[in-house]
Amino acid sequence: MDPAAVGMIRIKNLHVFYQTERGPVHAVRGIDVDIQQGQFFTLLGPSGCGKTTTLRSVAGLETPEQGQIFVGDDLVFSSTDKTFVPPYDRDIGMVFQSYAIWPHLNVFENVAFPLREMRRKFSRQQIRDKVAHALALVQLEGLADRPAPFLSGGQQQRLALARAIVKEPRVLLLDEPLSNLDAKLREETRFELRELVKRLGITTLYVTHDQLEALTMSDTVAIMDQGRIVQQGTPVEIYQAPREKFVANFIGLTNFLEGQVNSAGTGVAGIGEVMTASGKLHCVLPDGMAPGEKVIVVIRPEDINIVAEAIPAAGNVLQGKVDALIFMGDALECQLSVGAQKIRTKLHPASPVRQGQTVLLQLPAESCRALRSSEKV
Amino acid sequence: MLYLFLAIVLPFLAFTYASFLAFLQPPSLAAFKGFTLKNYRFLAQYGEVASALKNTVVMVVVTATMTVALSFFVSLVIVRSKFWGRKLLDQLAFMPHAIPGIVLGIAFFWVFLKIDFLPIYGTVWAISIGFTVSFLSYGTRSMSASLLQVHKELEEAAYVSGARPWRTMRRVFLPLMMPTLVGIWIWVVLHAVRIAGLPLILYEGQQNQVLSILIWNMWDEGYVPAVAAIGTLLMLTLLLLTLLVRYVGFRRQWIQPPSV
Repeated sequence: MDPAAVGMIRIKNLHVFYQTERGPVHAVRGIDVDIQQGQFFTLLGPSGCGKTTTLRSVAGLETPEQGQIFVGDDLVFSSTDKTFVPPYDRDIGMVFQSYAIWPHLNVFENVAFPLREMRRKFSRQQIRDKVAHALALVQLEGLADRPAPFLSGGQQQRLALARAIVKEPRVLLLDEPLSNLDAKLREETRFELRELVKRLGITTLYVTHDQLEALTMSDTVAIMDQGRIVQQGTPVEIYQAPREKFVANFIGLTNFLEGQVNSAGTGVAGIGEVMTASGKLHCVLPDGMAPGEKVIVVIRPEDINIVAEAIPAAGNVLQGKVDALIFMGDALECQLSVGAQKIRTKLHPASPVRQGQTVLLQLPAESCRALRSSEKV
Repeated sequence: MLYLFLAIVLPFLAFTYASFLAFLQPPSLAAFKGFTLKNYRFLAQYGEVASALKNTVVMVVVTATMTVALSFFVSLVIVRSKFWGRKLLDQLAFMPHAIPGIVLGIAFFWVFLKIDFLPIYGTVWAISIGFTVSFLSYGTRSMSASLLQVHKELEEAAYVSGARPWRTMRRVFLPLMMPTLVGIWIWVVLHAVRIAGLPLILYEGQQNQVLSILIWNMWDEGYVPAVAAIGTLLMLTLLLLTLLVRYVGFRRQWIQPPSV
């Protein structure tokens, strides 16, 4: 088989339970993932959705109940033939949320540790070179002799990364590595981290609850909820075309309008008409919607325009009253009521809108997405 | 300050003063002029001192080592395992704390007499076993507290770095626990040397006489200044050990995960 066609990390029908004081919890409920060589793949979801448990299963720190896990061509876990490769025999590097830097070792020894534990023995000079190289990659040169507890949070994070990549594993597992950094540093590190793993070509499985990290760093994002992947796609797909209310709600700020299909989608875009409490709206409808079905119309605040006068051809114009204005620096968040419906929009900070003013809202049809409302949210 | 002086420094000074006297007398110029090292010379000649010293060293080293090892494994089970009886084990290890040393001594006295197929009765081993049981409560408490502070991710990081379990134990876990192990070891030594209750009950003769019992016996026989001399030497030694505890023991502040 062509090795390029086979995913570097493959997870098949994974089920994981973990024991708590009150009995077992079914944390991961049937996950299938195929991550290509060199891909940056993110599991995104709220706490308790099973994303970290999935990552720890790939590392071998959890024993799943059912399923299969491959790292490269190696079967590292299989419930059917009782395969379990322990973490120390898997070709992985991992960064923990707490960094888990060993406080009794200095920076050099922390990074040298994985090399010294390898079956292949390196000479002293080789270890020195490899450690120096890893430290240079994370810009910690010159700190090799420092005791690990005397590092700042950002330095510890980079040290943990150097330790994870020093033996050049095929797979890098990152468990919320940025969540302990302050906002400014987190932003800088996002790009550095992505750039570094892309340069090294390591297949990366990243776990986070931060949607911004997921959108800015990943090639593919998988949104998890209650132990399942609810949607998987590129960051653009996930953001622009959420298939479920959970995804739309979790990623970014969203307006929801309940309604009923008037006429099914036509044309390439599949734009149909939906009747909502605020009026008729033209929206992108999913395939196979019949008139009369209940839907939820989703529109992002930044997609809504405030217009001076209605352009009849454009349609989708609603009249609303400005309830509140919140200045956010780079934007002006405007909260309106259209009848009983609350709508939030994002405007340019210099927009001449006043509180209490009555305005016209234009909702571009291609930005309004109708989702089936039968799904439980 | 005054209380500290009266409670700590004064008795020590009184002891030291008495150890330099030929016979017990209230402090006076004449008493200071009559200062002598006779008592210390007497200790060097008195045969039982050497054997008691040897017994004491053997007893405290064995006791401290057994207590540390036993507390370590008991705490490991209590804190880390999912063993169903771990709560009971915790209670069991803590129970001796509620029993006075003399009572525990009498209990062991009977036990060792009954199990006469094991030649424990009347040896220093009897004292070591008794002490180990009574110090287990303190040992497991501080060991458990310390184990809880060694974040599990520190060991998991070693596993994913390729270290097998025993290598992880040797290179990550034990070094992190070392200050606690040493701290408990010295604490047990300090206490085992000075407590007289339990060894007094298990005392059989010169073969298992430890320093605390020797002091008791010499006091009983009227060698008061000599007792003061032993006491002074013992206090100085223990004082050094206490300083050592403060230096190496219980340095845990760096075992915590980084703050946010």
